[in-house]
Amino acid sequence: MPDYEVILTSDRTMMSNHHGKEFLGFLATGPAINMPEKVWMWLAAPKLRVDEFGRPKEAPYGLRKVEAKLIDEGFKAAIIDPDYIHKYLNSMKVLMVGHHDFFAYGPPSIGWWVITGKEPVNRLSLMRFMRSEVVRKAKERGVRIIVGGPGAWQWLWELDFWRECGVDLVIEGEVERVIGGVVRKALDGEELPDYIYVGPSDTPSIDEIPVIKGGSVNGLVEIMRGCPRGCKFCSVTLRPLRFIPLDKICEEVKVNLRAGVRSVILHSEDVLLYGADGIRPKPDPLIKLHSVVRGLVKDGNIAWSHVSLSALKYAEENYKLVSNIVNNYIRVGKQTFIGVEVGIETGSPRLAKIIMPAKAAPYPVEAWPDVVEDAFRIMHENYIVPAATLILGLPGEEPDDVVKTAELLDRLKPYRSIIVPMFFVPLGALKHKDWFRKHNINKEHIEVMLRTFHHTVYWAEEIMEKFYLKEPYLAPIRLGLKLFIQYAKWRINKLKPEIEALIKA
Amino acid sequence: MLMSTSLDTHHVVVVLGDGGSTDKLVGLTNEFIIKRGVKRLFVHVISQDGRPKYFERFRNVLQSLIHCSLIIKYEGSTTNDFIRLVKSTHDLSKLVVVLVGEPPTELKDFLKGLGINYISV
Ligand code: SF4
Repeated sequence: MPDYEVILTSDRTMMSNHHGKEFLGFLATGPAINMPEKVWMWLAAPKLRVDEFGRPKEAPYGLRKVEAKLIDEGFKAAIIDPDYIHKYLNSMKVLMVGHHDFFAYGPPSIGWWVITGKEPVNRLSLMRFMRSEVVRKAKERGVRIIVGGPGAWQWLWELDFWRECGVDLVIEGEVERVIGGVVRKALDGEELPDYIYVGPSDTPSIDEIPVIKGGSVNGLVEIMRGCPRGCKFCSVTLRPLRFIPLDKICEEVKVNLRAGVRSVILHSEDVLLYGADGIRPKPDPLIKLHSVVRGLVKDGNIAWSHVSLSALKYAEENYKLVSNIVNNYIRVGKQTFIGVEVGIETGSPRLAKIIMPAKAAPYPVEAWPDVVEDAFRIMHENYIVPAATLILGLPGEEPDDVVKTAELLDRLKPYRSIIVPMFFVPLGALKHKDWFRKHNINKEHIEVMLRTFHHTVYWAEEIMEKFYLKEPYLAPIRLGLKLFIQYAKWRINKLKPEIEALIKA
Repeated sequence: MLMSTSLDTHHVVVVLGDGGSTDKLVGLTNEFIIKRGVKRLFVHVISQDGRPKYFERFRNVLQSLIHCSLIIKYEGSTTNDFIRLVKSTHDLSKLVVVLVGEPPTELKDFLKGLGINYISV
């Protein structure tokens, strides 16, 4: 049995590959609807394969990076599945828990929470884990607890729970440059600060970013960090833009292949900006990237984590780049489509100008609805299936902005896609349980939610049958989701008179 | 501690007393960061609220500071904790003390005695 001193882990909603279908992970951001939580959890976050020591074959990418950095710096560290941590109670001195949405305060979790009035399963699962006997025993033995990841800030809003769990340090940001020093102090029993935020000046250089040592969930591999679009209040955009060199990307793909993960998710805030000239995609680096990755994964699937709609339109209209990549490097062998997350956020150029002035660039922000529609058309024609987000209730939003979003949804009807509305919920709102119903929802919001519902249900069935869940081994999941969709349709129909009355009011 | 040994880490002691406006503290800290080109800020907190409860009044400050690295550490709740902290500081001329709300008189006297300027919000 290895004697790991530093154990990295998370709760089940993070430590899962979601049946190999990243999008199913979204189910964990909502509460269990019309089925027992256990069944919901099985749909959203089944257990991972582990080795004899409880080390998962796949693990969240952020945890993998930290693990790699600590191993490179000589620590006895490993990611361990939450069900196996008890095996390390004797050797463990530091327990590190990572998450991107610890308490469901991030989108879309918080939206589902206020809409349904029920706590999302990711929150319940994390809290259950932190309160588990093994974490309590670890704390009693003097293990230092460090929590971190993109959702680390949420601990600032859960101070009683922070104290209850005996968390020693909350850390946030790109931690590669500092994490070794922190863990060294924790191991040496030195005092730790309560909170560290790693800002832009301490972001790691390319050389300081390590290559992961074990498989990442669904083969996620980072291709760049940072984002040039400069949206207000976004910390990502303050950090320098760094393109991960191809050889490092390949090394990580190979690590995944060795771990038995044959798919790849190319991860970036905007995949099409890999090697780009500012916000204009460039053909060479992108073609090279896809050709090299395809050469490695052969019959595995390639997915993109996020692309911006403006980069996609620009790449296709100027270089036929999207169709080139999809036809020559993605839809080859068994792969028939590619999934990706995109952000519409609003259909109103006025609001877009305020919240995301550079989102449409290099096109003028006034043309945002056209950019969205053109990009959706290009994706439809090229078998790219987007999961798109809309944000309702943004500060400064006026009813007419929401009407514009509804109009844009009508224009998007012919294009195969999933569209998910999210509510901008100010923190603290959850104290007022009726915040959503009484104060912030208006008839325009209901109209948009209904249109997204009908759009998504219409396309979801086709996407499940023909693209996303067509493999025979996924039949039970397909069935579960179909039942869920039928239930949701029935429920909406039942509520129709009430909804219509609300809209007319 | 961690990045605190580097020369360009600025240290601020924040004493959270009764009342006072943490909103003003946000403005003040942002101004301080921009004026001095601060890249790393180490905030030492003295508060009777205890750890980690003191964040309740402090979190809005943190969430507005995304331009520099931050280290936040609870240093205790009493005037003695404050005195111990100040005495352990090597270069008092660089120390910035912010008093939020009404601090105990002996604390103000102590600062005056050492010739340390403080900011009240
Ligand atoms: S597009 Fe996204 S990642 Fe880029 S600056 Fe805007 S919010 Fe940040």
